[in-house]
Order: sequence, then C-alpha cells, then structure tokens
Amino acid sequence: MAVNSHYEGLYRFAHSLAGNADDACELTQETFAQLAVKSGQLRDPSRVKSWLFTTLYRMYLGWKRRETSLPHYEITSVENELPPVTPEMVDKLENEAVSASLLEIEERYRVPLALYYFENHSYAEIAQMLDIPIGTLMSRLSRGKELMRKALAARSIGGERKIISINQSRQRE
Amino acid sequence: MNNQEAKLILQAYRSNGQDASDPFFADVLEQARRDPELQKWFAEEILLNTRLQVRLEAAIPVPSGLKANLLALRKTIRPVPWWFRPMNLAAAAVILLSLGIVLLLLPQKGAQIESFRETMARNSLQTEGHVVFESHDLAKIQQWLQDRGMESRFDLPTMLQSGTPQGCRVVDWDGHKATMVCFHLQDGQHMDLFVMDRTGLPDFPDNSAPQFASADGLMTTMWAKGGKLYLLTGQNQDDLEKVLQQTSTALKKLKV
Repeated sequence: MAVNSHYEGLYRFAHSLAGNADDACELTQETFAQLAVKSGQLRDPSRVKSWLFTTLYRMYLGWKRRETSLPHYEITSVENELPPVTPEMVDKLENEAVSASLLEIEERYRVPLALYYFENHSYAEIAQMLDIPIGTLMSRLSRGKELMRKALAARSIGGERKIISINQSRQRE
Repeated sequence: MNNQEAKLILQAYRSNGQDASDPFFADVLEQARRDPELQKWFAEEILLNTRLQVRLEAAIPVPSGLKANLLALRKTIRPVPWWFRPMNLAAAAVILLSLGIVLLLLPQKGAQIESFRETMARNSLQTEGHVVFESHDLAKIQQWLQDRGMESRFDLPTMLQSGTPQGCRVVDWDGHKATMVCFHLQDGQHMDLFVMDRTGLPDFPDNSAPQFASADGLMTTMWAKGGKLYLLTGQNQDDLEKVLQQTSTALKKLKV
C-alpha cells in the first residue's frame, strides 16, 4: 500500500538530494526496508508519508556526514541579467536541463523545494519534516523557487552560466 | 500586509488546490482576489508551479524495476515484534530488575512481625543478664523504666498482676526500644511481658485480639491496646490463653 502510494515521489525526492539514479534507488529501498522493519511502530497510516520522507532525508544526511564534503554550486552574478521564466519556456526545456536546474540549487533551498513539488507536501508538513519554523520554510521555499527559475532561465537562453563550486570560490578568496 | 509579504506566503500554496480551505492562506487569498496585480501574479505562479511540477516529474523518471524491487523487499523483511526490539527488551529488563530490587528492599509485613517475635523470644530465653534491674516491686520497676524514658504505664493481664515480678530491662529491636518485665506466676511458670510503642509500626496489629505464634521454641501471643504493642512469652498456648482469659473475665466482672 505504502509502496504504491509513495514510491515515485520518494524516489524523485531522493534523486533531488543525491543527484543520481543509483543513490536515489538505494535511498528509496533503504527507506522502505526500514518501514518494513518498523511498521508496527507506525500505528497511524496517515503519518506514513511524512515518516517516509523524513526517514529518507535523515538517511541522506547520514550518508553525507560519512562522505567527504560534496561540491556545491552557486549561480553567480549573471542571475540578475536573466529573463523571467514563463510556462512556455519551461515546456521547451529538455528533461535533463530541468532536473539539473533543481540539482544545482544549494541544498537548504533544494530540499524544501523538492518536498513541495514531489508528493505535494504542505508547508506545515515540510516544516515539521525539516524541523524548521514555518517562517524560515517560507523564505527558503521562496528563495528556492527564485534560484530554480534563474537556473532554468539560464539554460533556456542557452547562455553559458558561470558555475563555480563553493570550494573553488573559497580557494580564490 | 503588503504584496511582497503576500507573495512570500502564496509561494507555499499548492497549485492543486489542496490548501484552499487552510485558514493560514485565507487572508492572502482574499487579498489576491481584491488586488488585480497580485491576482495576476498568483495566477501565473500557479500555472508555472503546475508546469514545473509536471516537468520535474518527467525529468526524474522512476526506474521501471524499482516498484517490483520494493514489493519484493517487503516479502523478505519481517517486521520485528514490538516486544522483541532491543530497546524494548532492555527497558523490560530494567523494569523487572528495578521491581525485584524494590520488592527485596520493601519491609515485608509478615517478616517484620516474625522478626519481632523471634527477637523477643530470644530475650526471653536469655539466662545471663535476663533482667538488668532486679525487683519484686512492680512500682519500683515502673519507676526504673520511667527514669529511662521507657514505657512504664501499661495494662497488665490480671494473672500477671497476681504473679511476682522479677525485674526488667530494655531490649532493642530494629531501631525500636521495648520494655521487658519478667514474672513468676503462682504456679511457678515463667513469663516475660514485652511492651513497645506502636507508633511507626503500621504493619503490626492494631486491635486487641491476641495472635499466637511460636518462636524459638517458645509460644508467644501479641496484641495491641492504647497505642502500645504487647507480647507475652510462655511455654505453651494453653498457659498464655489462661492468662488472657482471666484478664478478659476480670474485665467483664468489672464492667458488670
């Protein structure tokens, strides 16, 4: 039941975190494996969805802590010169460009955005899952949307964006 | 609320209409209905969100075999029963251990009374230093006890009153002090009467009905009266009952 209802949204959320299909599959499978083991503890079926997404996110954070720091990318100052994104513009983009636009957003904005778009989580559910105040969530969601649209716009106009990793940026400083 | 603030909130509104009845959005939705500019922005936002959602779902295709793998996974993993989880097992062990310790440490009603009987019986059987203050005068014995802050005003069974006191001493039991008065009855029997303040001993009898029990080869009978606990030792139950019956008969006669 839980697999049928949530596995697609959960996989996409995992992909938005890990950035590749293999890790996303593993995260999804591990999450459902935990659900199978702990199903007795989840007496309220309405909480299964939140439990799955929260568990997967925590598992991902655990992975990250064990790995060496991953490079993060930022959109540089060109963002102010980009045109606004329209629905037509979105339609014309390749799938890879859309998923890449999401993946290049800084994680603190990307995670609430992915939860918002996949499985239609409400603002209250997302705030609870990430354990952040609702005001903070609103800001991150808004900023996440803005960053994603700028990334989409940059790909849409085909312009060469300047993407630098945080590590590189720090080295320059 | 200005439009900038309204937009911040409206950006969390889900484009499928699930939040339409959420009071959190009621004010900003009303503001959007009244303000054409905000309304236009909101309509575009909803449209863009819908497109983005569709495109994102298409952009991240779910591997075809994933669902089958997940369903197979469910069959291979058995849920661990709640009582078998390590945390629950550990918690149960701690509770049982604590309960055992508490039960061991709790003073047991029967054991406490038995301990009192046995201690008094041993004192009764003690030949050397059986009494500390020797006197055949009950008044002097009572005075000696009173001088030491001990129980000196107690009700003696009638048969003991007709006997001859041999002396007294103070005995200790579990942090309490009891008075012991030794008697030789007219028929030559030896009996010791122990008197102790009953305060702080809730498990001991609180009525005057005597309770018989043997201890260390002696027969004992215990009763309570006027906030004091009495224990009398003798050779057998018949003798002790005789002493108590005479007391009871004498009391009845007095009442008549």
